[in-house]
Amino acid sequence: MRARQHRTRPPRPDRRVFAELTAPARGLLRGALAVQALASVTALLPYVGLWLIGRAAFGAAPPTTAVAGVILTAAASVLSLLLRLGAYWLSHRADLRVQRSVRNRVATRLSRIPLGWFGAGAGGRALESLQSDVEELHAAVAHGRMEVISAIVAPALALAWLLAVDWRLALIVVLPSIAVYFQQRWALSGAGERQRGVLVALTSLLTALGELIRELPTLRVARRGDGASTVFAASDAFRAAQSAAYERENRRSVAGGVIVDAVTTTALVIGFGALLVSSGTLAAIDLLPFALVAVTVANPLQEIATAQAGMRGARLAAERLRSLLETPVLPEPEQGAAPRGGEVTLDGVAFGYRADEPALRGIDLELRPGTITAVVGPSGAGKSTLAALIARFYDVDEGAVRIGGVDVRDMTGAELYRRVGFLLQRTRLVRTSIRDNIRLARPEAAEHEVIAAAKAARIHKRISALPKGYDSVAGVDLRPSGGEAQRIAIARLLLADPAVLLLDEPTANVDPDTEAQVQSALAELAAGRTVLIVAHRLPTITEADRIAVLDGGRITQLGTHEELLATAGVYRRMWQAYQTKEPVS
Amino acid sequence: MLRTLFGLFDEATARAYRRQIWFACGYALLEGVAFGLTLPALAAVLEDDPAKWNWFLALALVVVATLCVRAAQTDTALRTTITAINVLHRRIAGHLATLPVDRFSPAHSGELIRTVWPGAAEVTKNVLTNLAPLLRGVLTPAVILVITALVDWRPALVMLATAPLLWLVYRRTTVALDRAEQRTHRAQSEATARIVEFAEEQPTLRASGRLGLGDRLLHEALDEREQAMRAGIGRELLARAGFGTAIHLAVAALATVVAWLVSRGGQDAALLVALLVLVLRFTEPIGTVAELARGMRQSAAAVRRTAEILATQPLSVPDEPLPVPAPEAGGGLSLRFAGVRFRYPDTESPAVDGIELDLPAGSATAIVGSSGAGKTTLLRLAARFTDPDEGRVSLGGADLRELAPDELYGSLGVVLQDVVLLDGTIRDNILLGRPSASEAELAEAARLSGVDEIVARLPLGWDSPVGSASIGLSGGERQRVCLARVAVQDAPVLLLDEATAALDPMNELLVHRWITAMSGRRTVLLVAHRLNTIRTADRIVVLDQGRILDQGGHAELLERCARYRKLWRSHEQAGGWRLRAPV
Repeated sequence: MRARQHRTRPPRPDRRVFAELTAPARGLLRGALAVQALASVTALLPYVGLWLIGRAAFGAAPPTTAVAGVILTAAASVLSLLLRLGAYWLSHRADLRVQRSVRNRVATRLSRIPLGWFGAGAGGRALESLQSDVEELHAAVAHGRMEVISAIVAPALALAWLLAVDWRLALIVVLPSIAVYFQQRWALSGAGERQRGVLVALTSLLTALGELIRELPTLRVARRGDGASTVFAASDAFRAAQSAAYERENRRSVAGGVIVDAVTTTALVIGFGALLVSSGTLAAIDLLPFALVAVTVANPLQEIATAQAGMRGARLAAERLRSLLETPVLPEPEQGAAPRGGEVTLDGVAFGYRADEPALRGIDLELRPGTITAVVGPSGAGKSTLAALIARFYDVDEGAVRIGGVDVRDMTGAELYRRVGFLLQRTRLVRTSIRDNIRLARPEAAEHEVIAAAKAARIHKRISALPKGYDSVAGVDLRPSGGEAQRIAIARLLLADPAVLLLDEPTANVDPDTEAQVQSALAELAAGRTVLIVAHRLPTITEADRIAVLDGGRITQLGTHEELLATAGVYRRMWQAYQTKEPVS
Repeated sequence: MLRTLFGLFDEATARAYRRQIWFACGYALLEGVAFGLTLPALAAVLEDDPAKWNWFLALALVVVATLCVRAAQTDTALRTTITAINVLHRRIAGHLATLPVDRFSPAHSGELIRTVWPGAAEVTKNVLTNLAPLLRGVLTPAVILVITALVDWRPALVMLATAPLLWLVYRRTTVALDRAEQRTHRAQSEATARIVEFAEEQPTLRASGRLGLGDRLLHEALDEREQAMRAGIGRELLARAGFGTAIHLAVAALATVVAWLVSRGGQDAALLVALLVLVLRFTEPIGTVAELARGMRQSAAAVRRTAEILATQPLSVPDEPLPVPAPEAGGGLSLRFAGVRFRYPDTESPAVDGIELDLPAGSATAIVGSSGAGKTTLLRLAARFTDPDEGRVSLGGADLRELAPDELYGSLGVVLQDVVLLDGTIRDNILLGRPSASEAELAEAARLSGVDEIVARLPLGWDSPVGSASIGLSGGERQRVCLARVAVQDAPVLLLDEATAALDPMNELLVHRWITAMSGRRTVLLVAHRLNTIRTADRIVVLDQGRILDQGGHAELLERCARYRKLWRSHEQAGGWRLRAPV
């Protein structure tokens, strides 16, 4: 059963995908191939030079021929070297160009696909695409076809020469290598498929390693001494995948390799040459071309088979990249409609992360500029999801989200994110200067604007106290506390100045003595905007203009704090729960 | 470099590597002899000397031996490297897991990932795949040179003269290439870190606009990588040109010597012709030396980096670990900080200093203080995420450093500030606490921690996937799963950090009930950022700038400790604060 599975041919990777990805460097690649072909032709000339010297030595040519031979040998080798270097330069330039274009396309795509894609092991998958796969293209772009060309041109010309000298000995040299070529193709067949298994194992290894690095504290307490066990298991699986992919293949290709080894070919030429010379059917001097270039004729077919396997691997990488490049993006119009004002309307909105599990159903809600609307409800009621839909992290399944009268799906991303700003429970800063973290959305902002925003966000003093001030790199010079990160994010939002502001429990991870500062910064930020706040701690929102109570994916209550307290329901129960656990003062 | 490399391996792998090196040497020597034998053999054939068959027989025997060694070497080399990669991965990962937790910064992670891949392959596979041909590039020509010298000293002298020339060219180009390679490595690591950041911080970056600085950071890193690689290609070209020219000079010089011998006449013509062929066999292996040597240097750099990572000081593990003392009669184990001082690397002042704190078995202690006071650091020291610079932390009278880490973590139930669930089902995550727990114990822990409600809500129940792949659990729900894990673990000591953050009132109530149910028979150390949880504590410790300011009951402290009064006031204000739209 397994053997039969093995014999079925894997689907051939589509060449067009590879051609399309490498299109930006097509001209360079053609040039590189042409130069490489020329280099291969000239690489043969030094042998001819040596042959001329030999003829002179044997008395088959006048002694002056030896001088011509020396000159030819020297000149042709220099020329061939220069051409080879030229081809190397061209093909690596082409490689860099391809890498750049593919990376840009992948990065652009990554910044447009729905954020849901990023949930699990985003870092590992991005690494696979932007790094491993792109690097795998290198084998084909910079080397693959170049090697094939040089493995064809020079040996073909050499073979022609040998055939012209003595066809019998030429056949003896070339037949084993033709057999080996087919043997190698057989040995390497399915290599791409086997490599895929290795790659899958590698991706899980890197994912496990990423988790180990990131979640070490949790792993240590939860798995105790066993923190690295998933990495161990992944590494063992990787080892097994490599063994399965390469061991048999390796044994087979060694078997072919020894037949076309230089020493084998040399011994063949001498043995059969001796026979032919002593039988009188081959002039002794005619053995010289064989002794010189038979090795060149015999070896390359193996190289072709290997190069082809590498190119197949690259084509598979190209297909993986292509499937990422075809991941559906949140569709965006070419020409976005411009919203008027900062009013947000949710109209009959339904949404589920999975098709069978709606997280939100039948949501109708209006958020007016200059007002604060709070969303409360039990854990898992869909509060954060509601905010995420307004920021278009996902598209709604039913209904519409409108900002300033325009459906968010009819706005360009740039337009949308100019209008909508959000502050999540935990802000992670980007590893760059605090200044750039603040002006993330408005890189052109002037220093005084950055400082003004930092002052309003109550973080200027803290930053100025750092040895490098605003040049301190987040994560390197400063590992900000929760409250500090939030205030830097508030400064960022103040500078970005969005009309709509989404707050998802922004003080959850903030110490109480800094919370006061974060809150005054928040009040400054909220002024005059359309604000939606997702809240867990009820006292923070009792004076919101409106409170929406979410339960089981629906809005079950809507009103002010006093109105909701006056009615029996989830809100009153939550408020009572809060009251009973308030510590005794 | 090889010694460093073998230091990274276990004994068996190092032995296998040594065997590989002997194999490679044997192969190169045999090949040299085979090529050397072509000189008399070819000369005899060209002259149609009857001795040719003897020479041929000798040649054929050596060729067979050469090929056998080559086949054996290639086959075992692959298995050796696959094993070695695994050995290295396990060592690196095992080492990472024993390091103090605060060791990693985001900038490091790219470097670490690259050490595992492609680093491990550079260290293992490339060493072997480069070493064998490298030895061949040196030993084979050396043998050929010796055999040539036996025939005629003049071409042998020219061959010998090429060696210092090639060495000189190699040295000159190497320095520049090394620098280019270091720059490329730095650029690669930075790009790796930026790619991970770009994917993981997508929400922030996207919110900041597509043309914002976030995208620019990624592209700058990729651009620098491209620049570095381009510079590397330039250097590579120069090096290849230099070395290639030197090799071709050697060929031309040898051809000239032979031509000169021809023109002088009176020489054995067949031998001269055979010598022409040998010139090629002499220079061909050398031609690959420069590139191979460079590959080896890259491997050497990777070996060095790996050795550096493995050399970082892990948390010490005692040779003869003490058993964790048995819990005291009333339940719990005492926890004691004696003269503890700890400073984070790269910071000036210690995070905690002169900490004297005694937590009797079965007591519940809350630590309060403003941010940066050292609350979390104390908890991290108690969980031995890191060791104190001075003083000691002891559990049941035994220094944490003298206990076996596995047993230690078995005795500590830890709830961290960042609630992280591991990939797997809800059941898997809870059973991590104690895999042997019965179904009834599991159900009880779930009820106590409010996980029963979550399980009832989800269609897959206990088997719902959580961890990085979960999108269905809210922050509060994840915390409940974590609490259930610790409840099932039933450890004598509980360490809780900011257990009530990010919780709605219902959850907060549940956490209070959980702590109340769990304390009494256990020793509880609680970092109270919000002060809501402190009423569950017997004693409150006020921390300020890394030192203990005061300790006692709530009322006591309110009366005599100004710092505590201030904390309490700001807590009350925060609780009563309103998000007010300014008029």
